[in-house]
Amino acid sequence: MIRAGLPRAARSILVILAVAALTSQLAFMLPGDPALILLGQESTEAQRAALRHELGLDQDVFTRLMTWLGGVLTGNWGESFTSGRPVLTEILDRVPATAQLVILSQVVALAIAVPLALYSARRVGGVLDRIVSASSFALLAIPSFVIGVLFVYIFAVLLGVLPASGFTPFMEDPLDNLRRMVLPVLTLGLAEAAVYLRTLRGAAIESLRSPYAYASSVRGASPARLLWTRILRPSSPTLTALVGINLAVALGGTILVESLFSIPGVGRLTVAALGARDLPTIQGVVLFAALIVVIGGILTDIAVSKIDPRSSRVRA
Amino acid sequence: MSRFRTRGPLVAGVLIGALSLAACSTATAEAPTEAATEGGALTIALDRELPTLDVTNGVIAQQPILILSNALYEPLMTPGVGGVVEPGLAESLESDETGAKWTLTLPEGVTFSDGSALTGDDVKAHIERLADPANKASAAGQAAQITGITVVDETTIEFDLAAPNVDFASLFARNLGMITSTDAVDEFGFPLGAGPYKVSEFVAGDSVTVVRNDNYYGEAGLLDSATFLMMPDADSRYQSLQSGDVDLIWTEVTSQFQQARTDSALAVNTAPAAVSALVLNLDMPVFADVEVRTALAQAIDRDAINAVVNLGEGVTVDSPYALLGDLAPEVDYPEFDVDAAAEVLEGRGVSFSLTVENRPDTIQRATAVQDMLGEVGVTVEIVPVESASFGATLASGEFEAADLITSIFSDAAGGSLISASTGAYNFMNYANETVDAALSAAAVATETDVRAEELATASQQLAEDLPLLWLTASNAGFISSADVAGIPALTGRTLISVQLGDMGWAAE
Repeated sequence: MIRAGLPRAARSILVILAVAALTSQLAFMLPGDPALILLGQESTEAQRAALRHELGLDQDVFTRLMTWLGGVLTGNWGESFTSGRPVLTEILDRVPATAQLVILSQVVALAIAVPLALYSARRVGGVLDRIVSASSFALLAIPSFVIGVLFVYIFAVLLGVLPASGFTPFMEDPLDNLRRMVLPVLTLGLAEAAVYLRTLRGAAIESLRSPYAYASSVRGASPARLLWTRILRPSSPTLTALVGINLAVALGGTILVESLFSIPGVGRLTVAALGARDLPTIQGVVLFAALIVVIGGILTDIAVSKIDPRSSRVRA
Repeated sequence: MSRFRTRGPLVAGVLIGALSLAACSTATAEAPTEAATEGGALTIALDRELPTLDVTNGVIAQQPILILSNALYEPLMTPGVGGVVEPGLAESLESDETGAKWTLTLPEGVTFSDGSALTGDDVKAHIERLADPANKASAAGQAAQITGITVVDETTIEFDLAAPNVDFASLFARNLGMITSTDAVDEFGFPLGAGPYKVSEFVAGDSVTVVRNDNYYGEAGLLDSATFLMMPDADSRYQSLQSGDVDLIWTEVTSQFQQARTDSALAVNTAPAAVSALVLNLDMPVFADVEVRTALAQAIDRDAINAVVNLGEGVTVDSPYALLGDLAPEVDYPEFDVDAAAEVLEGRGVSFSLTVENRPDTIQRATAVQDMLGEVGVTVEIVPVESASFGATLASGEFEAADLITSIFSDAAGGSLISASTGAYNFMNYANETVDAALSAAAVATETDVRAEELATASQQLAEDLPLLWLTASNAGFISSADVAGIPALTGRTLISVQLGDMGWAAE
């Protein structure tokens, strides 16, 4: 097991190192002089040169990489140009909001997608299947921020039953936290549900045509038992992989929803850092995202291999 | 020593801030809201994230944020009508006859929010802190204009400038004039200020809550507290206002002003702001011929742009000083004349790219310009650039033409910054001796009529050389619950800079 995992671990470390190397060179890749952006157009060249030196922007590529990597490995991810706070603190402060949004939206997406996909697959072309298919295509066609704006208009402006925006930490006020999470979670979750539904429905249709499904059926398994105990598991590897990937790369997907609902998450931190050319924060967010993607990938592989052991067998 | 009210560069400290947001003014129909009563709390939606409340950060100096920063760090000077700057926290700011030496007088008894005295030494330390590049202050360049600071006594400070500048006082209307302690910070690590409110809670990326500063030297703020929510999405801010989640929002979206005016539960306070113009990179061969530039100006119907893009809420402009009341010159700018433009441009194969900040309003304006120029045979390719890179693109000179929307014309110094040959914002690479001479003369002219004459000379030369094709000034400002009181009339304001301490709830 350990021997089998070693190449994967080595690859993961290489990926993270490559990302770290690339992000350490962001100052040269992004347009604009960070010193000019920070000090303003009216600053003098002497002031800008002094700041470039202060920030290490005048160092060569290798020195910059080594300095930054050394800091990362010792837990010093640098300080934000704009807030002056440690970058790691900035990121970790934003993680709970994004994590809650992502996890709850995945739960909602799966809660909607799994039963509808299974029952749609059972009667392909039936009334339920046609309604579900049409709805899922509609959800896929409408950008999530449009759904969000619509939800806010209906539930906050017209009906006044839910807040339009804002975030309360769960530990501060659990009820208010959940109330404020309803619309963003639904906005994100519905779009994901449509994708999951299409994926699982296709796999379930294949599974229902298999000999073991037929055998279960003739042995008298009820439709519910057949779907939930015989069909769901063999149909799930692709869905599981998709959920894993979505959880890992959720950073990009939440930016719009975080902006729309004013949720202080990692996505909004990224946008703000990019706008201010806050290089240490941008580097930190990119590295953090890479770490999450790598760890998420490993966990997803483990989950898929548990669901379908054939997927992890080494070819002879 | 001659004391005079000054007009000056109310310029955002950072390029992106200065270019992306705006507010100048001319007359508007909005009246001040009624006087506010004491007590209560307001929830206010800001249009961007605040990574810090330290005045070194340029965001603090940007117009939409002044409602918060003025409350915490009451600036030495405050903008009045038509670009005039008046004493704010300061008792007075006077120059000698050269405009190169200035004397600031503080009132007696000013304190920071911890009760410690704010003295001349604190003003000196604050400016030196902002001038030090290590502190990454967006006002570093402005602070560098001051070559000497002499603390005469606890309330008197003298400034020696590198060059005469009658607009110097306006530098103190934003973060250079927001005096903060260099000795003490609050529990969140932000230097203490001397405004009517102080920070009681700061959640990065989410909100700032302020409460009344009991050590404020002036009249106490009316509200007990105010919470500022960071809500970058304009639709989200407006919907939150409609749903009652917030009481007041900042916006520059014209359609929201129009919609709010039809809602009796809401009140609108705006000023024509955000001056827009096309910046022509004169290093590009396509713009080398002034005849072509004139024809391009003739082909653009500014009234139509105001009607379509600003929904008629703004005004057309024809010089950097068009909004500045007494200083606004009469300029012979090329009139809309599509036939005359076509005569020059058709068949000439004029083609250029138009770099645009990627926002709905700017793209819409660029599309209108593209259509108008297409009518006279000019091909315009719109190149949207993300807001984060737009300022850097202009500064690098890697563009042919660009759509500029800015607040730097909110005072007389803005014209110099963009059109003087050494101007910090001269992205056109424009140089003209007449303009330089007129602007230099205006920078030392203390008489209003003399200044107006010099600025008119510069404006007319700009209208003939056309390194900038002027478009419009569109509205910016506040939409609030109709029950919010104490918002001043913004009529004639060139910078929307209000004091939270005067605001509150209307009487029942």
